[in-house]
Amino acid sequence: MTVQGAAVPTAPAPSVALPDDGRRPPPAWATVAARFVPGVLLIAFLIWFGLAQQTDRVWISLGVDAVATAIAVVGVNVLLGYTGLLSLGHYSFFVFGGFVGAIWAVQDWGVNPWLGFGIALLAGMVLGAVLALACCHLRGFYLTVVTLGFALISAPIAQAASGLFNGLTPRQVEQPLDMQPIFDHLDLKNLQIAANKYLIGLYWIGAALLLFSVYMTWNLVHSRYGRGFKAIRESELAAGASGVPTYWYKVVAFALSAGLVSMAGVIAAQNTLNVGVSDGAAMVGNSFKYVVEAFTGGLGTLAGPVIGAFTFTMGFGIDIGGKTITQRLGTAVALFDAALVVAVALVAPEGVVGNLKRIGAWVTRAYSGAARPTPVASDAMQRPTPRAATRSGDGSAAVLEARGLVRRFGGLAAIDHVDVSIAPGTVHALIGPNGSGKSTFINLITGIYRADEGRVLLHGRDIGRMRPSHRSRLGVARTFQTCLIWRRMTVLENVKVGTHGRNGRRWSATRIAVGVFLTLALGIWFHAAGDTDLVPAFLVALAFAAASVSDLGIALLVPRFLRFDEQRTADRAWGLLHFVGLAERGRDRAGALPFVDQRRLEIARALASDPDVLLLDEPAAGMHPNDVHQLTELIRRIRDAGITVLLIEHHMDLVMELSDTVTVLDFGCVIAEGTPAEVRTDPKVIEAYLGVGAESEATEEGVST
Amino acid sequence: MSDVTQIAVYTLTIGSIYGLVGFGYSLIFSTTRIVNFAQGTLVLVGGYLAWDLYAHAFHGDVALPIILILVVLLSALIGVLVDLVGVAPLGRFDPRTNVSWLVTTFGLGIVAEELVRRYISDSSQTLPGLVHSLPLFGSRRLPFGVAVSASDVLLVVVPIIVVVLLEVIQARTRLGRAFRAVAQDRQAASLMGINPTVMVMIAFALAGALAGLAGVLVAPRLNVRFNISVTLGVYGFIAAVIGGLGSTRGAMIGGYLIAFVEAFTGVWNPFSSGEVYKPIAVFIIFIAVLAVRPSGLFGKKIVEKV
Repeated sequence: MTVQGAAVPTAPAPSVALPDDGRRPPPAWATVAARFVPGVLLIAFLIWFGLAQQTDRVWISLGVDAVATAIAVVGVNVLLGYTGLLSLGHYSFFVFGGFVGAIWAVQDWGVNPWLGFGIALLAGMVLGAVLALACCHLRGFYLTVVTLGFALISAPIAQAASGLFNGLTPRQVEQPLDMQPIFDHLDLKNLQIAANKYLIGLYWIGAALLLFSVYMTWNLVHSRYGRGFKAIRESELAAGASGVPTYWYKVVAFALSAGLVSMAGVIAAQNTLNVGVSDGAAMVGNSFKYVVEAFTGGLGTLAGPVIGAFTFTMGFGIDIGGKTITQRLGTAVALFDAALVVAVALVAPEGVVGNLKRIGAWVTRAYSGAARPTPVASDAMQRPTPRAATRSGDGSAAVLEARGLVRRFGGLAAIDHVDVSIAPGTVHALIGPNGSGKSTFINLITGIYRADEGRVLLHGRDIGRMRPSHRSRLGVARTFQTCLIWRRMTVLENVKVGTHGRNGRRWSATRIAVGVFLTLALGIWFHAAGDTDLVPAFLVALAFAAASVSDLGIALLVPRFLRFDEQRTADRAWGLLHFVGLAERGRDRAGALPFVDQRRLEIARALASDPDVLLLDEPAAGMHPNDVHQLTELIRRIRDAGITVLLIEHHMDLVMELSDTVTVLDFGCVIAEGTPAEVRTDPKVIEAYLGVGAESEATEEGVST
Repeated sequence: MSDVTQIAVYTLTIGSIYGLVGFGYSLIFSTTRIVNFAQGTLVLVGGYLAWDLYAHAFHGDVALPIILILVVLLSALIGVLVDLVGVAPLGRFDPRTNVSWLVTTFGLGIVAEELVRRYISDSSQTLPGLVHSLPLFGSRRLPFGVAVSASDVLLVVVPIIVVVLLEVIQARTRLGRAFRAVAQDRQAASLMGINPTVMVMIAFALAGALAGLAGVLVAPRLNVRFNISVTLGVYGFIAAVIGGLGSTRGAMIGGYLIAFVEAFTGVWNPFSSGEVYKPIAVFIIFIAVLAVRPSGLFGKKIVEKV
């Protein structure tokens, strides 16, 4: 059941449009509750645990362990769950964080121990970024091996570098945190509490940092970074073609996860008051443990890592018949962990949270998930807008031009000195028999392949050496023959990613002012209240301030309902969904759409980058004739909005009806170019399609394969 | 001048072990496009199995070559188990977006290692060389005073024979052709009447057998101990990646290359303790090769079809 091509409403129309399956929208309270209940439960649990267990030394120390692990697993989840990259070396960052935050910063640089957490976060991000810069050009598991190698060499590096940084050899934390401020509010007459006070204080700090980490991830997931990460996870190729700078985003994801793991390392260091590098095998084993916990809890979910980490720490401390689970397992803990995660991967790869969601969906199956009101979009938001002010085909300068393009595969030239010039505001069709090089041509234009020779000019500017994401940001958008949408993201999110090249934040006076203010305020505070020397205090303050007002900092710290650019992105995405007629399915998973609608979604996503040129790679392939008709209409409306369309298609009626110009490729060469009527009767074209000697019949029927 | 001989011996012996392990990765990768992260553990399991059979089951009564054959067969079986438990049940999946296989293979590796720890031994063990002397060779000293034992000679020769043998089988036999067909295009191969599941299983069996063989061969030199699962596992993989995953020769040459880098760093380096810098040097070479050739020295560049 497909939705009709939406008529553009001139006035705000009633916004609720229910799919006709008799299902009701869920009540409003349920929608809100579903969003906030997990967070409230987490806070309640942390508070309950802290108050109820503070007299029990074993449990409160398990609690410290649990929150530290949870922060690390949240970090690993950013990389593995959202971005789809597995690192088996993150424990090295855990140790590194302990060194930086609890020892070097405090003992060697004279910074207040309380700042250790933030310093470890930033330093971990820097180290993570350095490693990521060296390995993020690699595909999935190659990266994993680099991280494995990193885990293996961290001990040798520690040894080799023992002259630097006053040594990486095991060191004591000489200045533990001063918990006194916390204990002004606690009943120290209770002897047990007094005895545990250091652990209790550490627990509350850890709990707060855990909430902070979850809060940051929550913001991140709903920001352009989070969407970019997920797009990379689902299809890196499509992400790049939609304007996501994939390499840099992978570096950011890696850095961020390394930072969070480092921060967790400080808690552990303050807990054991000792930091040391263990051997490579242990580094790898501990790193894998984070993966186990994230996987068991549910990868790519907010609650999953916390649940996973708590299960494997606190959960194993539960008493069964006088012995805790850990005691019962004894040395078999590692065996049990590994067997468990294998079982989870095979039986319930979505983990605890993924399966809870599935159960939830089953319970609420009477309600229609899609039936929440679809936001109306203003006229302006629905109109595709090319970024250059080129309107209608007046035949002036070409918007996109290929000059002497050559691409060889082995000895064969798939594209052999092709010159094509596409006039603005037109529909330019590229046709040719199978294997004639049409898709190769599109891949050369969009940067999926690099040309061996020749140039690609956009508005006269050579874009032939740029990455796909860069070309997309300059105004070249595309769809894929095989329909590469991000299946596990919602329809709306898919389109939002498309706006990537458009709604970037720029440095504004406000941001710089906030940054300066933060630097001064924090610097004075650290210096005055924190007993830190002036210079380190201001350096640390500057680092914090710069991090906070950077793009990433804002994405992490400011929730989306306070962000204007997020509002604009959402409006635009809804508008374009209206334009292609998919608005009612906006909140569904993209993978659940029927094939035809996936095609529309791809077009909406491509339009979201406000392209000057839209390249459609066989948009009608495998479509029912009725749907082809709607597609024709859609392409026409796109052209009318001023966007130049390059169309690769086998449906000749579609090509003949829409195109202003047709270029025919055969064996990688242009064999004909002209209006549809000219091309249709060109003997060379007929020969290419039907072979020599078939002219007479072909001319009568037109080329209608 | 003895440095040169020393480097040569290290490169040829340890390098061929890395290559042997790397070859296992390569076999599995070419048929399934996944990496078997349990491969390193299988080396360890092979070593401990051999030790257990030698010292306990047969009380030293059975000649080691026979034990070697038993271990290779058992390791092949374990390889198949990894496939049956960890990979086959995942069904058809895109290894790039679904990472379950990473977790299952790595997890099964740990399971195997922990089982060894619990039921065979939890400490380092020694295994005598397969043969104490070779006919015509004896225990000889090379010029420049480097001692070479018979087991070192086996270490150099056996992997080369095995790899050449497998190459010939791949190139010349019906099974080998089927195997290569699956490696190139799984779907097309299955349309030609080849059962890809069986081929994948064979790949896992071969990889397991190679790992077991490596475990026994390397035992006289490195002993049977636990951390070789990580070192040999990772170095073997690095060898395969440097050479180009999917290329047989690549894995062997990659193995020799990193062993050479290790030996070289151990002998000639400006700092005092070469041992520490070995892994760092290997890591740097690894990163450098991948930066220049992301598909390895002998790997084919993979162009994604759209």
